[in-house]
Amino acid sequence: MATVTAPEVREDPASGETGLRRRARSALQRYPLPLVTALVLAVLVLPPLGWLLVLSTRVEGGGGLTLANFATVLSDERYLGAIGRSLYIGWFVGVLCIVLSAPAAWAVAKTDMPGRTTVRVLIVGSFVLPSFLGALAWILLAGPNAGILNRVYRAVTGASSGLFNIYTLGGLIFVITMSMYPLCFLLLSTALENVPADSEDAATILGASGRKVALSITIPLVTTAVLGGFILVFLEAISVFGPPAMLAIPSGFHVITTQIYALLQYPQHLELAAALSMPLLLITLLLVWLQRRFIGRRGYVTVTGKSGARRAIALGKWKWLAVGYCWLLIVVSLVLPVAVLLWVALSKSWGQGFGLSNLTLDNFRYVLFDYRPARSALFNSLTLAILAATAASVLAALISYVTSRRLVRGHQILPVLTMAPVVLPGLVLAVGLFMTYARPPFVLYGTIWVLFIAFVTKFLPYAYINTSSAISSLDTDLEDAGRIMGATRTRTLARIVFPLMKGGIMSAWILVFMVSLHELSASVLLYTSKSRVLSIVLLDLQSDGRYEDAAVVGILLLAVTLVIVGIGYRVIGKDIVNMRTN
Amino acid sequence: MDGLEISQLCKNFDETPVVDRIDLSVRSGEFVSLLGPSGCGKTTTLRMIAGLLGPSAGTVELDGRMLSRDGTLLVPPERRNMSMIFQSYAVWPHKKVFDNVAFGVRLRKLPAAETRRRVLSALEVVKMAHLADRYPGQLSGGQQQRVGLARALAVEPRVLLMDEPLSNLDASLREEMRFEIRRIHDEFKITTVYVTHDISEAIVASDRIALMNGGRIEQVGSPVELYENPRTSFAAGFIGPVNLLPATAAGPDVVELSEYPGSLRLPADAKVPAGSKVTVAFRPHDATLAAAGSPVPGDHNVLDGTVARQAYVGHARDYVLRLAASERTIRVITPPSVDFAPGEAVSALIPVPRCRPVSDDTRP
Repeated sequence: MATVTAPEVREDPASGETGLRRRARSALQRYPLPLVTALVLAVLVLPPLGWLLVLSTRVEGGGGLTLANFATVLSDERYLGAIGRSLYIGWFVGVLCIVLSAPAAWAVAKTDMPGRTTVRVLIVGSFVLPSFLGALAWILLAGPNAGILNRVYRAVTGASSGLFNIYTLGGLIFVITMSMYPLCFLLLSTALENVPADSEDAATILGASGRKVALSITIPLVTTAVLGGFILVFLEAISVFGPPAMLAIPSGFHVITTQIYALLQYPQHLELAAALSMPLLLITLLLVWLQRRFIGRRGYVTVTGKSGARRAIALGKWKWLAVGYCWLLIVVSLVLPVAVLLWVALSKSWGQGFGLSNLTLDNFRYVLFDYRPARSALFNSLTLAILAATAASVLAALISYVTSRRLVRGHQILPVLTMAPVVLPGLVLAVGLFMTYARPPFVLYGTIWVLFIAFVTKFLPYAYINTSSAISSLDTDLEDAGRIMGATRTRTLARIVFPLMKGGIMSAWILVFMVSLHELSASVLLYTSKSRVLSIVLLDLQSDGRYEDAAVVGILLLAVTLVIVGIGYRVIGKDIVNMRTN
Repeated sequence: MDGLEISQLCKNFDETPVVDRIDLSVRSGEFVSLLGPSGCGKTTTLRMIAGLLGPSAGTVELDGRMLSRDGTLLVPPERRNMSMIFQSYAVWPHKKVFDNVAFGVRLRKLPAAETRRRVLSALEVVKMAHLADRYPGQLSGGQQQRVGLARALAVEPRVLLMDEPLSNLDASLREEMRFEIRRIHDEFKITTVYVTHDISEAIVASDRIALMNGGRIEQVGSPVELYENPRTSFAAGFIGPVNLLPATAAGPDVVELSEYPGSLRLPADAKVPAGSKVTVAFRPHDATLAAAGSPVPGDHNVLDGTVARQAYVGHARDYVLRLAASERTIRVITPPSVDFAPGEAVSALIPVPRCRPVSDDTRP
């Protein structure tokens, strides 16, 4: 039998380099991919964090160590007020999201309500609407004078003043709640679906009443999801930038994020901004730690394979109440905002009547062809989203591979580094990145590359969750078979591992593409006139009062998102609305 | 030196030794099984031969070339010119049957026509050529394992490694594939290391069996040797049912039983040192039963007792005997015509050559 002889690979002991350098070099030759990956990761994550620490403990202007910045933050009325308002908002948004989504989640997961699947898809799918777009829509709907709901109210009742004012703390809480409750809904409905019917039956057969089963079995089993949902939404609510920028600043109050933003405008107070970032960072760290410690992984939802027969609770005559409630939620959070954005985008002047004579396509023509900032922003946004999605999913795939196959010593540090940005609110990350890349050795500020780094860093955890679950379901034998048949590790990776985890990589890509396109809180600190993105253009147009053009930008964002998610839905062929699972 | 040479091979996982100083030679063209209970280190040994795991210590050599030495993989798995068949099949679900088999052949950069010929002839050997265009998801488990076999054969490996290839198949298919694997080995004479916990698989397919226990090799030998002359009580019990009686040597070929008032003669070649502790092993169907007090034929040992239990199993009767003046029971399997009721006093007659002294020490 013919045998193929292969040359031996041996370490080269005869080189004259020092031990450490030789070891590093031979390690790099043997594991080029893992080590480069780790290096890239460290360069991405560590400098912004380091700068934040340095800045917050530096005397303003840069001379010596001090704790004065923290003292200012914790004593000045303005900053304390902003911190207090952010916590207040976070608390109420958290509670409201749970309260609003629980009945809908229960109806979808546990009952025979008609149209359950549609309700589920629409509620979970409403994350295609970024929170700043929701804020814009609600300004148009419930602005104190010209808001459409107020106009309708006045016309119907003959009252002299409107009913709603979105420019209030309450209005802000409402807008944030409407954009975040789908997250709670997703967690709750999945948890409810995953409560095994067997364990409920076991209680019933032992003589428990329906109410007793719910109280002693079902509810305890979903408590982790409730707490997890609350923490997630709380964190998102205190770190969100778009809605407070649009609603709080005009009405003269600040939350933490807008206050940090204000401190970074001219005249800049970098040290104070860094110090004010710390409470945000600490609260996030604390809650993430609490979640890991007490809720563990059960609070996280993974893509579910619904198993076992589902036994629906018959709602009887109550079913129309459930249907009504769910659709009310969908109308308020999705249908109304999208409809008003469409209508305003298509109207000559949105303050005019609702007649056909007010309709025009001029806004689209103007934004797409004549308004230069929008055109370059569209190009920048798409470029950034594609690049960030590609970089993040490839990097995440490599990290998952290196980690799950334990390729290098110390591989345990990689997931920690990867997931670290989860505790960095976008604005805080941006403060760190601004400090890192506005000075040598990497002067990237003013280019889209600093945004690119921000997006990759911030969204790497999202991608990693998808790719690591894809690789952990991959049997190592498939790979070992490739090696023993004669393929190198790199070739095995390219020909066997990556093709097999394609679904996970594509989910990661689509997810990162979408959230990059919608990114605002980091962009707002890092953009310059040469590197504007769509969300920034929308914010600018809105603050100039050009609502029709802002709505056009919003509709463009929505359209691109829908097309990509739609294609992804087709290609992957699974429930990609379930992907957002951080 | 032709063949595979393993010496003093060790593997520790977190300080726990899983494979402990193994020595094994596999001659060129030989089929050797690593047989043992789960957790005995057989799969770990196989993966070290493949280079998928690095040894903690010891060496793996093939045809005089060092492959692994003391914790270092000198030759990575892809350059060892081996191939492997996995318990999980490990057939790539995103490649058609043809492309699965062609994967390794293509890496060897042969002309396209030669590649095609090799792939098709490998598929022919495992009778899967007609399914070359299918995806693995469309095949049964048995068919997938045939694809795995074809994929491993098509590269014409120097050494073929099999890791419990039949464990996931159902019983009848498993029996068929055993003979199939042996047939293919007789046809191609590829040096093969076969890992299994199934004694009948090992017996049917192997030239030699290396019996493993607790990370060590207990005994290496042909199936007949292992069955007829087990060296340890573990080997005796693992290969088939056995009676083990503790005893003390009274002479080179006589022992006094510890739990029975009597002695047994051993074959002349036993040569146990007088006064030493030994265990005497004999298999249940090497003994026969006779009514108590019957004349003892020459060259037989006799153990008296009463029938404690008897089961008729069609082709035989399966007895449990309680030895006289003892708590000890032994098992005897006789032809169905030998019929004693429970409680009857009987003598078990065992030919002297069938009584083997075995060691309780598992160390080689």
